[in-house]
Amino acid sequence: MADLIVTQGLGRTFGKVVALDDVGLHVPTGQAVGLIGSNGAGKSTLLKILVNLLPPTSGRAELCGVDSRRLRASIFERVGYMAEGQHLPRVPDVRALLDYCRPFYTRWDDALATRLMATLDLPPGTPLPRASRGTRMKAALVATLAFHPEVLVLDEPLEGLDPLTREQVVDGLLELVSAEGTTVLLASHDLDVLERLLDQVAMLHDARLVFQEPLETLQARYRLVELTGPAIDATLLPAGSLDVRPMPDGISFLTTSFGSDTEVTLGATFPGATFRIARPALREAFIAHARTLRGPASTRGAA
Amino acid sequence: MLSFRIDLVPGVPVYEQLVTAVTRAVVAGVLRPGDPFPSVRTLSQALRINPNTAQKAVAHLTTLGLLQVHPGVGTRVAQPAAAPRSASLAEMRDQVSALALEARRRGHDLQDIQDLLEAEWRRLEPSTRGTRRG
Repeated sequence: MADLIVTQGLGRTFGKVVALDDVGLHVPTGQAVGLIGSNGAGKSTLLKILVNLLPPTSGRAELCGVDSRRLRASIFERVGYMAEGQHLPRVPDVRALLDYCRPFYTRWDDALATRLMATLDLPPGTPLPRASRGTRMKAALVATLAFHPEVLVLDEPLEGLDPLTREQVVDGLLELVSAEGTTVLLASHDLDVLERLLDQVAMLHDARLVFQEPLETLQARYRLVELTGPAIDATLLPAGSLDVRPMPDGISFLTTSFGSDTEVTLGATFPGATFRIARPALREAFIAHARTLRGPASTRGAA
Repeated sequence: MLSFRIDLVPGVPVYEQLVTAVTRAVVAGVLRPGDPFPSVRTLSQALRINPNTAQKAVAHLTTLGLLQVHPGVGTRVAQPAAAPRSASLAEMRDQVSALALEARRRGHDLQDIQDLLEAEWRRLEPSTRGTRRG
């Protein structure tokens, strides 16, 4: 089956600012891809181009096999899009929001909406004006999922939410995705809470795509290493060692190429040193990765 | 509800955790040969995980010979092989050799490792259904 989300050589500038540069991203049908990157890396621009809120300056984007610039309103029966800090219509409560949205969708499913509200702990009578960010986000999510979209395009759906609410939002997404294998592209920093949802992770940095890779291979190759011992020479570290930092009696770094031979190699390179190897939380790993990419000595594509 | 226990922890691939939990349940006798195994859809909904992840785990468990897919019937826990393949012990040697190397590098003695191995071995011994920690 064709990929439901594709970009080819996608570029966008705002005046002299390059927001996206030659981005080729594919979200295979039925997969969930997390889009990560620092603020200003181009995530929101990419998602807005996909749903035709912005035209590209070069290259192209396709959603459900249609060029984004030719999308018709009818496509939004199949696509659930949530902008960052999604704006809600002026309605008194959640029930009224769903009443407002229902007529737009032929596949609207009240039973699914009810299940989602239970998962999200969001009673239909919850008032919406002046509601917290978390409550508004949950309400927007119910309205975005209740019509069985084939594709979800979500911009920072977890931003600014407390840990419990983040878990509930991920559970809400999985209510649909685990049953239907919905195709998802989602921008977020909160990778750790998204582990159950994502198939792949794509990283944008400075307008470019750094990598797109299955989550499990990323988890397999990222490790935090602490090396302690006399006279550790950081220049001997193997390729793919990022965010090297001094510690008392040694150094710590993130390796992006952990394998079965890593311990043997380190032991041979640094005789007499002791090392501790730990799985990093994904969020920390990518912060370290982004820090290295931003640093003066960085090279692009160090992954 | 699932008939085996799994508590997903962050940081470790979900697919690996699922394979380990099912392997543990089969070895410990919580899941027995011929038992029906939940569908990919049931697994993904019960664990709230991506169905692709559940599918990958089931495919891998099938390759390992722990599950058998019967078209039109569903997936069941497989009958154990009558005798381990001769290649199996050779494959174990690689893992044991890595363990021995790492233990010596850290300066442990053989007795420590034998005690550890024995304790872990006993933890996996078949027990009454449902009482074993997954």
